[in-house]
Amino acid sequence: MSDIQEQGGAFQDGAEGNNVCRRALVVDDAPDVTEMLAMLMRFAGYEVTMAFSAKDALGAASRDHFDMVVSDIGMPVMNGYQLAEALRALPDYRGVPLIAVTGFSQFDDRARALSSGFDDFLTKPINPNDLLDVIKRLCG
Amino acid sequence: MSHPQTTTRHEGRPAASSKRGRALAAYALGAASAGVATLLMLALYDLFGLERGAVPFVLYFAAVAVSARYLGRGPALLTTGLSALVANYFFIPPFDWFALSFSGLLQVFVFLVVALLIIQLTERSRRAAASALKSERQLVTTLRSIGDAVISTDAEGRVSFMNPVAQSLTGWDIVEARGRPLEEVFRIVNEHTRETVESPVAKVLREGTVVGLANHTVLLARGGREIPIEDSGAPIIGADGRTAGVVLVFHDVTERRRAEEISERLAAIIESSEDAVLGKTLDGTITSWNAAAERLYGYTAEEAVGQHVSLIFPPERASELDDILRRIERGESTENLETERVRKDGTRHHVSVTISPVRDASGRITGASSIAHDISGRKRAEEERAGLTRLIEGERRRLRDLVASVPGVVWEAWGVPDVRSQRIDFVSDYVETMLGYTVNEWLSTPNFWLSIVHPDDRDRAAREAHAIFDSRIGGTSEFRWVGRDGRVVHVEARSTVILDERGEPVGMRGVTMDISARKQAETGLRASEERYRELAEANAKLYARAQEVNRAKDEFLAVLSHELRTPLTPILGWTHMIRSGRLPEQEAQKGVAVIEKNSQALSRLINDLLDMSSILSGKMKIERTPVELNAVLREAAETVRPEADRRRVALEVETGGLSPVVVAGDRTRLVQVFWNLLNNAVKFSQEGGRVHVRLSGDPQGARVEVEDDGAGIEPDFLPHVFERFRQADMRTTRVHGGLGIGLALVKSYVEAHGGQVSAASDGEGRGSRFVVTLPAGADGDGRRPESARPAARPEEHAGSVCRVLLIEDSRDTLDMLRVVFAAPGYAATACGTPEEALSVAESGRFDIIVSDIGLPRVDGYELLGRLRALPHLASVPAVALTGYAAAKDAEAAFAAGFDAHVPKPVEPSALAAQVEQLLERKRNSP
Repeated sequence: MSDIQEQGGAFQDGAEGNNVCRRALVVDDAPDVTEMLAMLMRFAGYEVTMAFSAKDALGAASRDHFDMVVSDIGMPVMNGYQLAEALRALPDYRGVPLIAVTGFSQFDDRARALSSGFDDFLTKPINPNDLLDVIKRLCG
Repeated sequence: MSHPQTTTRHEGRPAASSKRGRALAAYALGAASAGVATLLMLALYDLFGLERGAVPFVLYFAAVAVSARYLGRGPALLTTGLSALVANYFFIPPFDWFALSFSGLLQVFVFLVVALLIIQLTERSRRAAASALKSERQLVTTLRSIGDAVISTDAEGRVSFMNPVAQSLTGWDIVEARGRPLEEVFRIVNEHTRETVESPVAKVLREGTVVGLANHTVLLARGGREIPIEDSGAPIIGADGRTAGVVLVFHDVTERRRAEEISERLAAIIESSEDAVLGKTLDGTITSWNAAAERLYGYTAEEAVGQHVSLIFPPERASELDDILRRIERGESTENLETERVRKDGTRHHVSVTISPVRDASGRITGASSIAHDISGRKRAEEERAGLTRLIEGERRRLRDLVASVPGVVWEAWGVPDVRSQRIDFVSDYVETMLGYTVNEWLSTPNFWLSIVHPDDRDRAAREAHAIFDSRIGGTSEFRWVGRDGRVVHVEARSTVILDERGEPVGMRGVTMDISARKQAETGLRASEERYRELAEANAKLYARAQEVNRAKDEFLAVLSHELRTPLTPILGWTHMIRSGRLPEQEAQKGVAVIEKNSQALSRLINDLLDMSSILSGKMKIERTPVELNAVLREAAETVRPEADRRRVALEVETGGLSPVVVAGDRTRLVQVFWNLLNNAVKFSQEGGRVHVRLSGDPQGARVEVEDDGAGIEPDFLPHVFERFRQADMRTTRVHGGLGIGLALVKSYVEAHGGQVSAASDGEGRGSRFVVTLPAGADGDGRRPESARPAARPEEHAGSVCRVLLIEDSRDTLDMLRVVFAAPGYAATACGTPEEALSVAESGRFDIIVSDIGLPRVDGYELLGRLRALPHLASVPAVALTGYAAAKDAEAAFAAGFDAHVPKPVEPSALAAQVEQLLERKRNSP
């Protein structure tokens, strides 16, 4: 249980003392995944906005500013790579951490994700702590 | 005195008759003179009366002298003899013919001696005179006949004699000239100075010696003619030793001058001749050697003249030299003999020699002239030309041989190829073998080649020939010729264009080959090529297919990864958060629901995979029990309805009234079949689309059509829709999830049931239709209702069987519920969707309703309301299964009319207890 406690602590430590990196945009076409990630991050202290497609995410990103974006790769119509490229084209998002979360393992490689503009790459099913660690690292 | 007679007789030598006649006459006269002297003596004796014996021989001396003087010695001796005899008889005592007295003998002797003396002297004198006469006559004759002119003068220089030549040259007649001073007749001047030259006569008279004339002396002849002469003068010395006159000899040198000039000119010509000219004697000694000879042979004239001509003959040509010399001796020329000579430096060169005999004025051959010119250059040129000729001959022969061995027509033609003016210049003999037309026919008929082209090819062949001609280069044309015997010969004409110096095409030449055999082979080859090509294509297809299968597998694995990982993500995520214990209860409940839902999805996915796996390994088992397809379709439809509702797709299920359609089969598998078809139909429909399911049955079996108006299927993909791992869109951005094994499972299951499934589509965006046909059950009764089963079920209390309507959109939960109510005393109808439930409820009688709340489109609250709206269900108790087990949810459930609520995950015992409790309550209620 102490493990969980500590992990739980990790949830809350995420955004503490880090006002720069507070608002997160989570994008996944699978609502369960989106919601879970949103929940996870909310509990870690982030303010999370959900989007269920890349287009929605791009719309949200241009309306509001987010300090980080966590996105799926395999999505209909516009995929994660395209989203990352589009975001990087926006002046506000040039330096914002972009994290890929993908279930694909074979066609989608880290290199392509990074060249599209992602800062890091996580494979589903993700370990929540790994995601939070990555976020902390990128925002630190 | 027989001797003189004998002598006289001997005088008459056999000679010409006239000569002998003259001699006889002389002797006769000799005798006659003795006779005459005798007569005169007798007359004298008579006249003077002399005594015989006195001066017996006086007159006889005269007779002898006369005979000797005029008749010669012979007749004179005859006269002497006769005189002595006659005188002895007549004038010497004893006056007998032969008797002599001493004195008479003495007298006769004296007479004879004196007579002989007379004869001797007379003869000498006569001979001298005759000789002088002869000499003078000869001299005159000579002077008259010699070519030189002769003039003689006396001591005073006056002309005394001129021979005819002198008369002719000077123009003076001797009659006129005689006695005139020489200077008058013989006028001479210097040819160049025109001064009078001193008369040679004066000089001769003065000096008394022979003098020659100066050269270039011209005689001014009477009448003005001038004649170049050469002369000399000599004194005539008299018997007294004094100069009695001068004889002048001269001759016309005009001819000689001309000859000399010609000779000089010839010599100059010879000297300057380009040809080597040399003279030689009959024995071959070189006598002259011109400059060209020096150049040609390398020897100077000084070196060569006097040498033997073999000097310049190569040793092996000695016989040639002999031959030449022999021919010269015979007076024959050797003309243009081409031979070799040796130069001084030892090199040899070719010369052409003409050797002619040289004759003197009398025509006697005295030597030879040899004219040679160097033909080394010509020889070289000739050799080169001969070499070239040989080369050309060789080439021509080679060409001829080559052409002869070509199994085609080698040809050359001038002019534009497809007009009548074309002239065929050459065709090889093979043309006769090939087509039967003679070479002559080819050559004599313009444009012959085109006239025998197959009519179907003619226009094209003409066009192509013209095009090749215009190309100025060449080209190839194929056509057919028709031989004389009607045989069709496939030919290929390879032509080269002949250009004139301006680069304009003027003709063509080339080879036209018989390619009939090749054509035949090609036909065969084409057939084999076709076969090989088909094989290769089949191979390529197989390979491509293998590649595609591979690719599909790879893609499948990627998709599988995604499909497995995606539900795992919320499961693990929520589990993590829930285990943290920090989530509020409500959130945790929600998380659990998500975990359950995704676990079910995973479960379904894994089942599909395992099913697929068992299908692939041939281990799939189909349990055959009578299955009512109506219910199966309803269940499948209700399972996908939430998704359909979410995407606003109208899902219509037409089950053909109430009569159930039953097949023998595995219910679970059949549900999977239709769930998959419906799921696909919904998945590929546009928002607002429509999915229509139609069930029909007959004694032979059942037929289910699932139709949508969605994305449709591209014709290319249509044949592959039932292949596993195949999805039309495998890209990252694919709109539709799934593993791509659904339709493969459908096909496998349907076929395992002995049925068939087919797909049809009018194309992309125009919807698709899947048709499943299933055979009737093993017992042949396609209409035996499944609902018979509960009746067959052993029941403790027939009237107390509890009919349960189960509504749950999660199939697994539904299955679980079914298990719960499979216990004796229950008859459960399981519905996967609210629509199915409503459909079933319309006619069905139920004792209790167990419904999920989170249903697609129509949630549990609303559903209950609608079910309760049915009169026969108005008072049926209902249990809510809530995923969100919060108090608030329970309240909502109660508010909606539920009598009880059971939170998920459902505890079967709790549910059963709740149901029993409600049933009990109902039984107890009025």
